[in-house]
Amino acid sequence: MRVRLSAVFLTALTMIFGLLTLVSLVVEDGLGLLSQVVATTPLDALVALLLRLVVIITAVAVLAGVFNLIAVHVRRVVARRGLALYSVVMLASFGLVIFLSVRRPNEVAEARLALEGVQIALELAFASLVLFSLVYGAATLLQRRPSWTSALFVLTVVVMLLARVLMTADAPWAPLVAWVETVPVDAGTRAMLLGIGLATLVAGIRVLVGQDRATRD
Amino acid sequence: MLQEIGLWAGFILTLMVFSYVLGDNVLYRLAVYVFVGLSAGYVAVVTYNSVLYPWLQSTVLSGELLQIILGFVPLFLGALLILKGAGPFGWLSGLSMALLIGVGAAVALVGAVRGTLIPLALAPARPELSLPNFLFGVIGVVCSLFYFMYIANPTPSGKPRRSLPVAGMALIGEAVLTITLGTLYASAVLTSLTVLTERVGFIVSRLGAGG
Repeated sequence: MRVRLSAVFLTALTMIFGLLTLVSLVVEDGLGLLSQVVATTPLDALVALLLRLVVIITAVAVLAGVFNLIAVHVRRVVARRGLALYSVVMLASFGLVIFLSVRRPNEVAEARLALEGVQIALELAFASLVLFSLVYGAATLLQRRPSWTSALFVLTVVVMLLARVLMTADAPWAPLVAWVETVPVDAGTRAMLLGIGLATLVAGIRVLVGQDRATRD
Repeated sequence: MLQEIGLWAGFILTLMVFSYVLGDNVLYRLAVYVFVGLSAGYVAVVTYNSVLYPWLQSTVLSGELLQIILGFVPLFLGALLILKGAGPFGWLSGLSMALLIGVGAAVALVGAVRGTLIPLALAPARPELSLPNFLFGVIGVVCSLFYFMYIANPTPSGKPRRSLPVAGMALIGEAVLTITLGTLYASAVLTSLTVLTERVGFIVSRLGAGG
């Protein structure tokens, strides 16, 4: 089996960064020799620096992504390919935000507020559009894959919607709805959170012991 | 005056977004592109103002040689990410990825244990629950976790099959999870209905203001 030196080096580097961070975050006072080692070495300062570097690298990656988006649309406008109108609109709205941000705040405060109002209006409009997708999804669920789980799912959705919209506190089915919300839903939510936590734990350990090589090209 | 223009722009864009109910069309797409442009602009501005500028100010613009060199290190590592998939130098992006993934995995691991697993394991269920309901909750959690367990015995035909107790527990877990997801779905429907009602109210109020 051929092993690439760069891959081994990068895996080792990942493990070193990960284990240093883990030791710094986990080891506290009262753990004997381990606590002494952490206290006498500049490990905490080093890990604090590593965390700051990670934040800055992520920010640079985000800006690179935005730059790439703009470059793609500029190329589309310059080449006058189809859909150039959409790109012009996109670049204009992007440019407006940048223009208002580089000016002094007191000069353009009202314009900024107006633009934020437009952004919020758009976000709310898209969020409300989700309603149609959700209702359509629930309606087609039974038609496409009829099974006992899809039937139970749609039944739960309908019962919960009716209960929340129509139910009064003294309705005869109120205790049942309250029981569903406090017992099975609570259990299911806990199980999903535990599942996510366990999966994160396993994925983290696999990276730290070098079993997962996430740095391959 | 500008506020009023902003409100009218929001009104027109809201109508353009709602035109999607009639099917995919030019107006809806224009609204999407405006949204993408605004969002990209805000992301770039916030990222620069709250992350990059403070870092540059405390390092590159500090005037101390050591700080200046340190300030360029994450910028260099961030630039290396662009090389990913770029021929023979592509592996250099792995240096940045090693730092991101190594530190990220450790932080996620500690966060999962301290923030999710330990609190959920130690925190009791709702204190007002009776013993049967408490037991039902515990069984629900255990069975739901069994539903996600994919260990099975091979059969002579080669098809893997769960043992009867595990299959039974997984079935109960599936029902618990379905009820949970159904309830969350109903909450999402109600939330979006509330937002839609607010938007319709906004449209009506704008029409009233214009008329």
